[in-house]
Amino acid sequence: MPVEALFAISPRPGLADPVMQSQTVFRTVMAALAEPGTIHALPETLTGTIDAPAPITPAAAAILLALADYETPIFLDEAARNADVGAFLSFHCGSRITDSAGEASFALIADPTSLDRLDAFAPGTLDYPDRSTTLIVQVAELGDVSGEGSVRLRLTGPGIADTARIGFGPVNAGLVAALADNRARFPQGVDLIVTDGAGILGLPRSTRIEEEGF
Amino acid sequence: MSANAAAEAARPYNYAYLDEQTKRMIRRAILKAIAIPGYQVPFASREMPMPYGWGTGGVQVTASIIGPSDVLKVIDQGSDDTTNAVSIRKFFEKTAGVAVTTATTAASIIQTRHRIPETPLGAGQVLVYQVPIPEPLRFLEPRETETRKMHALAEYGLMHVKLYEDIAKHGRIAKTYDYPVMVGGRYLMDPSPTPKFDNPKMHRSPALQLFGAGREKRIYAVPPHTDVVSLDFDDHPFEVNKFDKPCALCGATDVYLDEVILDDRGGRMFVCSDTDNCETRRADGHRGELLGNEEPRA
Ligand SMILES: [Zn+2]
Repeated sequence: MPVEALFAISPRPGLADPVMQSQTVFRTVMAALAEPGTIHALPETLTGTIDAPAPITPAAAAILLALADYETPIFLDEAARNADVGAFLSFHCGSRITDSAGEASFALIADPTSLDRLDAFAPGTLDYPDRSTTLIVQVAELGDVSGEGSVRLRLTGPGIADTARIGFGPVNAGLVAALADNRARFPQGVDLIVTDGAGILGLPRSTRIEEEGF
Repeated sequence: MSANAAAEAARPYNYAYLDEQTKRMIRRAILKAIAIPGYQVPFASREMPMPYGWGTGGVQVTASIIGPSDVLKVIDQGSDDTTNAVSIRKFFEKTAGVAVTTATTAASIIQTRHRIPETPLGAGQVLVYQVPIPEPLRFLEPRETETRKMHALAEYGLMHVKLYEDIAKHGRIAKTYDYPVMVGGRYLMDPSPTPKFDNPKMHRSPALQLFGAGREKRIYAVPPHTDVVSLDFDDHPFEVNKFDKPCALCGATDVYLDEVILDDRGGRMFVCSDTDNCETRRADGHRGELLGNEEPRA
């Protein structure tokens, strides 16, 4: 194969400094899952260097690049399922892209308005609840939300001193009920990492979620 | 190539010793552990350049979370100065280029064997426990398949029976360390061989608590503000160890004390197990019996 052809298919750059930036991304995700309801920001210097193919946001790409590898199949929702995304993730993570949500370690949700249920993803087993899918959910707004298809939630549970309030969206109208069902399955269930491209919100399966009005 | 990447390429070993694939695997296990408080996540433990008894599980957890902006404290039985604590601290100074400290309040990560610092931990701090035996039910049920089933169904009657047998035999629950707790009202968890004196510090702590067992290949976690309740009975409520005397050096009364033999004629004293806490109190003007019993002027 001529060298030019190799350049033509070589995917866009991932993390500029994989070792140190993976650590930064991991610590941000760890803090987000340990403190649900609090938004944790990735440094702009980190997300700014990632040139991920549409529709993956730099933050979602950073999370996958830091955490996924050949041991973790990735499921892409319909909006994210394109050749460029597949090539980018296969190249940088070494992950297999899977069509089966139920065998995915990670799932990238580029269009959460289509995410009406969570029970198709791997919930783990009662013996091994850790064998479950982690969803990376890209939203347009996180924190203060306008209400156009967005939700406002009241959160309680581990990681939250009393009650936390957070909004994000737009999402499918069925997602809040799906999150409540997910909590009801504890210790089985899926964990969500919600990101608007800069901030990260953790919604582990342990969090109790109630919808609040606008 | 960034400056960091250049430094990385020039480094003769991986950052924080572990290779990136191992770190990713441990990091994923830590995230699951946080999402399922008290559940023991299996992980593929690696050989570390130190023997198992030295806390290889805790070291692997610390190596997977640590970054150059962290400030690390390492304690062994409350002391920053044992061979074990000093070795681990040096290991991370060298392999991860982090700042180290003995001050509990200055640390972002505290790796510990057998104690929780007396100074209350704060939000954003991470306490990493070195755990020898992560399974609280192991001494009652040696079969892993059986203990896994008990955790799956939250069937912890066996542990209650054992504790109640203690009460029948000794008039009280005999366990003074390794005292079992329920985490988030769901999982029975071994707090590692900390004295039961430290159990209440785990309850709704604002810090993140991570537990690593190297030989047994398990990682588990207690997120901040999570209920950690020591098992007990209505007629025998959980009580922490009480000490008859204050610390002989700093006069502290509400801390865990170690017995120190002074001479071969039976002379002995009780001093803080937490050396940082004791030194800080003395620097603030507190004096125990051995140093003339003084309190700082208001
Ligand atoms: Zn003292």
